[in-house]
Amino acid sequence: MGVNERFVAIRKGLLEFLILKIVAANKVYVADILERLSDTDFATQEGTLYPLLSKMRRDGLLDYEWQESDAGPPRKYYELTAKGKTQLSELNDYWKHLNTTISQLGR
Amino acid sequence: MQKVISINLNGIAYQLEEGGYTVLQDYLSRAERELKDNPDRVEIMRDLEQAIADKCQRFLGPHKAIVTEAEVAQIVAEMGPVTSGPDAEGAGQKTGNGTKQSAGASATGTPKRLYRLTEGAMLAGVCNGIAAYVQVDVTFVRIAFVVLAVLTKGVGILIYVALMFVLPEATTAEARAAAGEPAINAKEIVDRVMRGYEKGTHQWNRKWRRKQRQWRRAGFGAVAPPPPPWLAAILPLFGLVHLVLFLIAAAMMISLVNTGTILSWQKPPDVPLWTAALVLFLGYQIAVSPFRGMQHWAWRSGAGSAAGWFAFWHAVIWLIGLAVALWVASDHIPEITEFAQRLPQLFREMMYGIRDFVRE
Repeated sequence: MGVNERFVAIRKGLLEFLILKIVAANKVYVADILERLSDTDFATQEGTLYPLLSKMRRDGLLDYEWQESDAGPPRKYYELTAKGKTQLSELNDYWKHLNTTISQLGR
Repeated sequence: MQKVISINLNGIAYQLEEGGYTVLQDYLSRAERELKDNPDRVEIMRDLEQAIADKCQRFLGPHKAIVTEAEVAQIVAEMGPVTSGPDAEGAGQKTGNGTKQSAGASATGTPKRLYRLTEGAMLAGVCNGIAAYVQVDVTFVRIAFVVLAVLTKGVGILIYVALMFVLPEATTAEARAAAGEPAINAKEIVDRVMRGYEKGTHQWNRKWRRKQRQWRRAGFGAVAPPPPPWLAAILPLFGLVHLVLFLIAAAMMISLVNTGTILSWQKPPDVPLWTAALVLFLGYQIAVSPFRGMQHWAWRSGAGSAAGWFAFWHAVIWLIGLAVALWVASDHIPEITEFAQRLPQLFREMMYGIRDFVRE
């Protein structure tokens, strides 16, 4: 089992965190999110992303609004809610905390 | 040449090749099933359709109005399997080397096709292909074919030969994937049955040989008496009754498989469908056996050595007639199409049923 497979579960769990980060930086629609993730280890497909976004919206972390696009029908642009912003900063802090723990252990 | 089917994705019409339509329908119905407990199911389905529509757009241009089957397959692979949530097992996140994507594609949307699979085949791979298609072990299919060939006095062999010419051979990896992979392992069942009967067969063989000797002495199996001349006169009538019986049985079978009812009789819920179908099939065989017997009697003693040929051509004509009737009917009668779609499932249930029975 390679390193890559070993971390599948971790990447899966982190995906929500990364989406919060991407949405926090910019108002985005789904294709933007996929584009941002595509070159990383977190490359994701629509089949996974849509259900996840709808769950995050149900949890009150983000919301969307419809915007006209130049090509084709209107698109859903996602942005963070207040709860989403709090959650993101908590996750950021916790991630830093984890990093510190990992680098300090075994010294 | 492929038929083109128009579909409506969020209010915009797209034209897909028929094969592509099947792929897409399969993908969407899987997604629907996966999301059945999701409160946002309707919205997610609409989002997915929109994403598919956007991807279709990419393949269309001023000189290209139709999305091909291969392109739909690519779109479905790009979409990835729909998972109800990030916690769901095997959520379709790609691993870095992209292996997950191809695995996901074959699990979601590859259309199933009937092929000949020559790898591991005994003859031309027809049974192998059917086994892969209905997801049972090839041994079952081979046994079924042999039983069919015996029951129908050789027509089964003709069907095999016909399929040998009709079915394409799965030469590419994609075709092999589309043909499916066998799921149930029959070997252990067969092994078990063999072990159980090994003891019995030896005794049985001895008894059987003794019985045969007795029969031979008693003159059993001697030439049958010639049929009376009136039989020849009413033979066409018998053939007609035979055909009518067949059509009635076929109608009953289709009604049973599609709706679980025959005329107004409702199948008891605790009887599996395949058992009812099997009973109906055997009932039909018993009902037509006198007619069949009469025909064979007349042929055998009436036409001498030509009788064999007569029977052969009778079988060929029946087979061609049946094939044409099915072909025409499947295009015009929706019940037949539905019946054909349910048949693999029925066959699979029967295999599971027999397996459970053997295991007990």
